[in-house]
Amino acid sequence: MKNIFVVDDSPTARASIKYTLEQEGYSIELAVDGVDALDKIKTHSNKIDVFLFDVNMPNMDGITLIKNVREISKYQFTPIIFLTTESQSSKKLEGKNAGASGWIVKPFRPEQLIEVIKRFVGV
Amino acid sequence: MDNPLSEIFIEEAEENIELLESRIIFLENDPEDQETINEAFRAIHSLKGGAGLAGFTKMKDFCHKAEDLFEKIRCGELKIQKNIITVLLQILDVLQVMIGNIKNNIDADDEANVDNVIEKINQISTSESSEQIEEEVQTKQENIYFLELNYYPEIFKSGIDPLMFIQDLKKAGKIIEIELKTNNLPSLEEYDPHKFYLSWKLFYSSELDSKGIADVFCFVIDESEIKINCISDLPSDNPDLKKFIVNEKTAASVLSDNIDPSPVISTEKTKVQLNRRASDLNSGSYIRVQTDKLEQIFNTVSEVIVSQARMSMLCEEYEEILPDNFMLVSESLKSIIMVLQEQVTSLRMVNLSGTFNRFKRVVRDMASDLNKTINLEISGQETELDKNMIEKLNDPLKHIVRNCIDHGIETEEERIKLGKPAAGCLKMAAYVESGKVVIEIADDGRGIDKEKIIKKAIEKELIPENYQMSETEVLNLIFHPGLSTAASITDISGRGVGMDVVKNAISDINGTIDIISEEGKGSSFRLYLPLTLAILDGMLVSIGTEKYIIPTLAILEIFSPELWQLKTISGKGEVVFFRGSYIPIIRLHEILDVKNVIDEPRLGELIVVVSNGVKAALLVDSVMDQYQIVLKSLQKNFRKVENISSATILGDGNIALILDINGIMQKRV
Repeated sequence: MKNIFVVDDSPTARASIKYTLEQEGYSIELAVDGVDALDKIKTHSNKIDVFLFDVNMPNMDGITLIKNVREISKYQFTPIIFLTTESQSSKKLEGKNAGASGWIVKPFRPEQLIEVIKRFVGV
Repeated sequence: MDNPLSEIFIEEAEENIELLESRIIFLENDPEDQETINEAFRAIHSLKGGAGLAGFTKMKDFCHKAEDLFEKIRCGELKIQKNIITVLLQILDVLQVMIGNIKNNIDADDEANVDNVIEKINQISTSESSEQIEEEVQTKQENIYFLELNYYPEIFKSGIDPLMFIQDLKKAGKIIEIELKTNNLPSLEEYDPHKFYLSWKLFYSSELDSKGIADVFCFVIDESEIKINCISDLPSDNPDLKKFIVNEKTAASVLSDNIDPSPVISTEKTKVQLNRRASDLNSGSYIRVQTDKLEQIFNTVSEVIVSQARMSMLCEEYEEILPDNFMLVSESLKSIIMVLQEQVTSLRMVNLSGTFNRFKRVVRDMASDLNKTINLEISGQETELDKNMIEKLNDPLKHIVRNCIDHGIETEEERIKLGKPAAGCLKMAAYVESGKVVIEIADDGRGIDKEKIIKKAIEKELIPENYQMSETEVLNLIFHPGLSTAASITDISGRGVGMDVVKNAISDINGTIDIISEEGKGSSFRLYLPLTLAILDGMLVSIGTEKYIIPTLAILEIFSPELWQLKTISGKGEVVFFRGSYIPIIRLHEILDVKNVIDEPRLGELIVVVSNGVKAALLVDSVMDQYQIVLKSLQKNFRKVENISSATILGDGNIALILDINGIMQKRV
């Protein structure tokens, strides 16, 4: 089973993403913000296959989190997808420069989420 | 047949008619499927062309009419409804009659029926086209694109697998040709494994527009150099395009399609042709080979196998004086020949989908004739069988299916009264089980009325009154010639011939048939068939100085009996106690007239065989070996011999005869 690590400060977002992806047979690990996430990622025993980060979060924002995760050698090449409400290219570019693989623009439909995840774990 | 083209045409036409039939049935369930409509159109179109070339004018003219109708369906002028399916099926019937007549050299077409069907085609064409469907049919145009994918070297660092995009492309269209460019790869000293140096060029056919393709690359398109060109926009002297066309042309010439050879890709027409070629190329290519030729290859390979076996034996015999590598060579030869044998066998293997699909029509027609509703469930049609066997299976399967529909499944009213679903269910399944192919035909009808069979059998003096029989034996009575339990004889089945023909046909291909039936719940017929006709697993047994082969398919068990197991029962003769019941012993040496044998069962071996549900123990001196044998027909090379089905050549070059178990059992039990 593929492990997906989801970070979002909104409980609703977390619950809906978890539900959607679990329906598809993925195993989901959750964190509430960047600091919590980094803690959990560093101690997580199983290898994570895809990261899904929200951008706007308290404590540590998504962009910083991406940079930090890329520092961890075993996640140097793991797909990181970020969620952003700003569909402007500035945030996208910021995310990409930090080392993200792709993005999903909020609000999204469950199918869109699944499709993007499948693209990255499908190969 | 005087027309030299006839034979080729008939073969092609039969294939096309079969394809057409399956497509029409498919359209009945899914009338909108454009690809199916296209396939049906292509089938009738090639039929027309073939008929014209071979000089069958009447057929050509009829196909022409039918093609018009398909054309209207294809371009969306006509919507497929029940009445159209009916006409399409009638067209099919006419075509089948026509091809049958051509085959049998009869020059008498049923003109009235042909005219009748043509009249119907005309009616449908005119009535519907007057009220043409207003809405624009949105047919998506497939375009061919030429893509160049040059990713940025740091792509790995964003966690992206460059192959991901090619996989995505495959989901939305067809990659016709792809070329990997390695010219950017640096020398090993400069090579950085974290960097990506490869690029691709590909020809891609898809319904997507350029923007849709760009969307596939949305995560990388800013940093990478992704070029997307529709090939109609490319200048015709583009070197990649030229190469592509040359490749396509060689492939196309193999397909012997008359394609405009000019390499200018600017007109709409050539684009469509390219599209077509692209799809043709993907469907793989076939060479038509005469079955005779396959048969010859098969025979030659059989000879090779026999010679090789002989060589192996000699090698073992002279092992001490032969050089070491001689054994090695012999062994490797053996394994190569085994591969060869497998490959040659697979050439003759055909899957059952054609056979099964044909029944969709049969079931549909019969059900509507008898006013029954029947759902046909098909599974395992990918199971493969020897082509020769498949041909011989058609009739027996048809008989069984007819019996199920006619006698087995009740009418709708009866079913409702019994609390069953109104629609009957007929299952056709195929699977492989312990080296045999099993074909199962099961209905959920009333089952076989055993009392009725017994009564009938007594009436016809097939069995004495008060005769004790097991359930299997009773059920097996339906295979007796001249027993039909249908209350009234219908057109479909029940003429008293049928099930015995089925049994014989199955025995002919070394198969057996089993019936399971539960009253009120339905019956199930199971055919057990060997994978191939030409190779048989057999046990080599010795009787006196003679050696015979018993097909493994028929063998249940081999054992040496103890004294307490043997008994003589008056009227039944010698029997042996085997797994809870007494079964008769057949002394093979008596039947085959062999002298100097072991005639005491305890000293020899008993081989328990089963034929049509009946068991018997065959007495032989000893079981020597198990063999994969290549059958040689005795009838063809010598004459029909009683109790012997065919012959084979053993590894030592001797000939062994294969026992006809069904024949022996019929006479003795």
